[in-house]
Amino acid sequence: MAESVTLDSAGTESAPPRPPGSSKRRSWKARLRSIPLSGWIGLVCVGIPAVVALLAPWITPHPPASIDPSQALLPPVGMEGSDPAYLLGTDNLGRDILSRLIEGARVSLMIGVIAVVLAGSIGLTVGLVAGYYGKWLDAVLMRVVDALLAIPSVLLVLVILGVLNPGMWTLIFVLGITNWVIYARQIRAEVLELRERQFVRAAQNFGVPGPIILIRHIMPNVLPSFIVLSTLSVATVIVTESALSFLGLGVQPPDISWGLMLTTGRDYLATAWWISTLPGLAITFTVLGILLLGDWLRDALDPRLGGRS
Amino acid sequence: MTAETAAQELLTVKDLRVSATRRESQDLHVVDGASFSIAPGERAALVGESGSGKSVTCFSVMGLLAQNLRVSGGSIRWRGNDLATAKREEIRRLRGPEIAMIYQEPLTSLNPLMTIGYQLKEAARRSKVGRREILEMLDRVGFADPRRIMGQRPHELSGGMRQRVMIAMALIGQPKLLLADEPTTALDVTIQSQVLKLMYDLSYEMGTAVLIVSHDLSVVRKLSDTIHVMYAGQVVESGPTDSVLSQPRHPYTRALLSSAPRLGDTRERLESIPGIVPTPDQWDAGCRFRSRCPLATERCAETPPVDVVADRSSACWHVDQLLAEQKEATPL
Amino acid sequence: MGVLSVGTYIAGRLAQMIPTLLLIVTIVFFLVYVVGDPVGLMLGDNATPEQVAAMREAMGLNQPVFMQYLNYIGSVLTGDFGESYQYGQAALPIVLERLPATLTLAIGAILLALVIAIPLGVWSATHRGGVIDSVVSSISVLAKAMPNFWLGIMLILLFAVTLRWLPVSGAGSWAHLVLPVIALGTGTAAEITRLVRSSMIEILSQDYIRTAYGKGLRRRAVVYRHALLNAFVPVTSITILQFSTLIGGALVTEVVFSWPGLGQLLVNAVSQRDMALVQASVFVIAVMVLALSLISDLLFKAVDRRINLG
Repeated sequence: MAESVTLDSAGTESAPPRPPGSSKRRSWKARLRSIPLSGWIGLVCVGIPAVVALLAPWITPHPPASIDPSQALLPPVGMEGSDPAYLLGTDNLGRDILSRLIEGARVSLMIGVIAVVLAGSIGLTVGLVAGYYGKWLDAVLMRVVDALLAIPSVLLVLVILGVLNPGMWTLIFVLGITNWVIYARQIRAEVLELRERQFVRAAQNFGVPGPIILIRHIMPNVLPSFIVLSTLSVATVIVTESALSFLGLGVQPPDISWGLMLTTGRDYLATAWWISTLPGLAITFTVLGILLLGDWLRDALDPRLGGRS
Repeated sequence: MTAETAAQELLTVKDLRVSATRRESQDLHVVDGASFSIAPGERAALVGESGSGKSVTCFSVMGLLAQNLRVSGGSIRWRGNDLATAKREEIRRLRGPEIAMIYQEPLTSLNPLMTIGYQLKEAARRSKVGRREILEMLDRVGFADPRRIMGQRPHELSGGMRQRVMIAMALIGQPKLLLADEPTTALDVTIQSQVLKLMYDLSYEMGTAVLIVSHDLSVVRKLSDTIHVMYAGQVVESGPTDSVLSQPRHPYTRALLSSAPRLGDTRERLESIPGIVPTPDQWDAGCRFRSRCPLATERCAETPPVDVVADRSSACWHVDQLLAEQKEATPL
Repeated sequence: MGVLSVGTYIAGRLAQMIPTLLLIVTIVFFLVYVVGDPVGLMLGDNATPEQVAAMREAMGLNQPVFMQYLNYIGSVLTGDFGESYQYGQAALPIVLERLPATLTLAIGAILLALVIAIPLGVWSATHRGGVIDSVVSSISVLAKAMPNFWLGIMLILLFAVTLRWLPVSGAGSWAHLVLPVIALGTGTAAEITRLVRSSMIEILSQDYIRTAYGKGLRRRAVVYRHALLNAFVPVTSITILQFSTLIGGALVTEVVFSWPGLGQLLVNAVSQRDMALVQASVFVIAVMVLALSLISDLLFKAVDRRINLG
């Protein structure tokens, strides 16, 4: 047994996988101190919308959908004609912008997270299976991946949206099944390398069945990339969601989304800049946070992914 | 090393110290106390195990240290000017027409996307040399069809051919000093001596002094007039090649000699000296070889005196014992 | 390395594109005809059962799926994607007519991105860790985070509504092109800046850069001639990959600025369920993206002859 292991793995053991929990025995204080400034900014930028989204039903100052034409187009506090009850002003129907932003955070983040869970599960499965079993299965799956990469994903999303009825759950489904491709590619590449490693070879020699090897031995090693990709995917999905909602193909009224708020705002650019400015700021703020968080995670979790060089 | 002759020396490196900037701790000295000098037309060699700071010393003369390294002490006098404190622009002007260098890796030292001709012309322009001379130079380094080579890119040439191109590029401006950092290490054994001979012949014709960095004593023995033995960032012994190699005055030189490959031996590194070179953070004021030296005593923890005898210099507390042992060992 | 082998190479690559295109067409077909209900989509909710039946018969939807698929592929091969019910014309010509406007916008955005990104990327690479480097990095992360359609709205707010320097939307003059190109190019510029920076940092640590300095070349010559030439390959590669993302972004930007390109057409077609138009648009865009990747490959071969053809 031992002999065949050494023979098989000669020269391929360049970077042994990290045994769980060995290298990082630092105290939590030391870990906190090692987070760079950009990481902190990322945590804050993601943390605020996340907390707001969780508490949304209890913290909106007004019901986000309640219409009050008498209070229409009020500017944010500090400007002439504002009303302190409407901190960030109101839209054309007199709905409170702040409340709608809070509810929008809930919707955007929910769509982002659920769609990414869906995309991640598909991508992880395809990547693991294609990478580990190889042969014709790999060839077929990778052809599909290449074809999907050849067209802008927005395009595929639009086709599916043309067929299905628009709405939040359609959107989640569509974003989920169009965003798995990058996972599949990255994970497959890593599995291809991992399956030649000594510990996998050893498990194979012991007669451990393939699915067990995949889950017990290979999956933990692709987890860092998976986490980083998932983080960054949430950003992509949030931007796509807001773009589609902006186009009228995503979240449908009376549901609320930041992108949908922008649509209303565009018609009132000359008179009420805040309707379109504030939701955009909310998207930018959240996405910026996710990007910074992703960059930091990439550096912290896995040098192989090559972060800031 | 003799101070009186400094005026006619080409290059005099004195107490050179090169430091690496580190993010989380104090600066680390990777060369610390290297001194030697080279006269016009001299063929000198810098020898020692890897990690002794030979290459770094060369690069500091060229002003081409990596970004995290800097000259932090000592002087590098080039025909009277101190390059250690000179402006970047001043050193740049010297590169090419005054000092040139040949590197260890011919495979990666040429720009992959530019033709050989273009890269040679860039070097030639610095010394106001024209196309005719470039073709002539290519002919002299042994290319049968110089015009064709001019239009080729590095990947079309073999390692040996690329190193010939590097030699042509370095010597096109007829520099006063050629630094050669292990110029044949990356080449096939069969052509190593050919390339070296070419380099030395051309330098001789031009009156160019050569400083070769090498760990191969058999090369050095044949091709250089003087030898400077480096150990752990310092020059521990200097002198005419013949006398240093026949009668070393430092135990490290003796150890190097006894581990040197014999004729026909093709080992890449000298590994048979017991122990390892201390890393820069272990260096202190005492003799740095004492951890591996058979002659070491407590006294070796103090800075050894520099012992100058005629044209030789060395730094060891136990020279007398060393010489005595050699006398015994020499067959009558 | 002759003309012949280049021709063979291009032919080979074109042949490789066919299965990819076929796969795309197939995916779209099954989405529209199997998952969706094309008749329902076209006739709307108010159609009588008789109308639906007649329509199904007319469209050949009563045949087995496989036959439908073959028929569909057959007509696609002749460039027939069916008739757009909105326009009452063949779909493909309508799409092709809109293509130049989208390409103008996309190429304008790429050029703008390159003009901004190359100097900034080179600068931050050569002044790595300095103030400018941090400022450039921060701005590029921010630019990446901003959705291009919101940036477009903000540009309209500032330059068209408030300052009145440029038209709000539409097409017809150079002035109309300015804001959409900025809105679309900013994110791409950020992406390319990061790439130029990281490739330059990697290249500047190569041995041949040291050789160039060793020859006594000036810093400017080393950075802009020796290093930038080598950055050309990775930068072009990513720029062309970005093109696919950029086309996606252009679809939305066009709507913001009422730019008469493919994007507006497609978004409109999707919301009107004009599936012939949708399919033709997807096909045209896919062909465009595939062709671009072929062009980029050929470009590399021209620059970097170390890569052997084939």
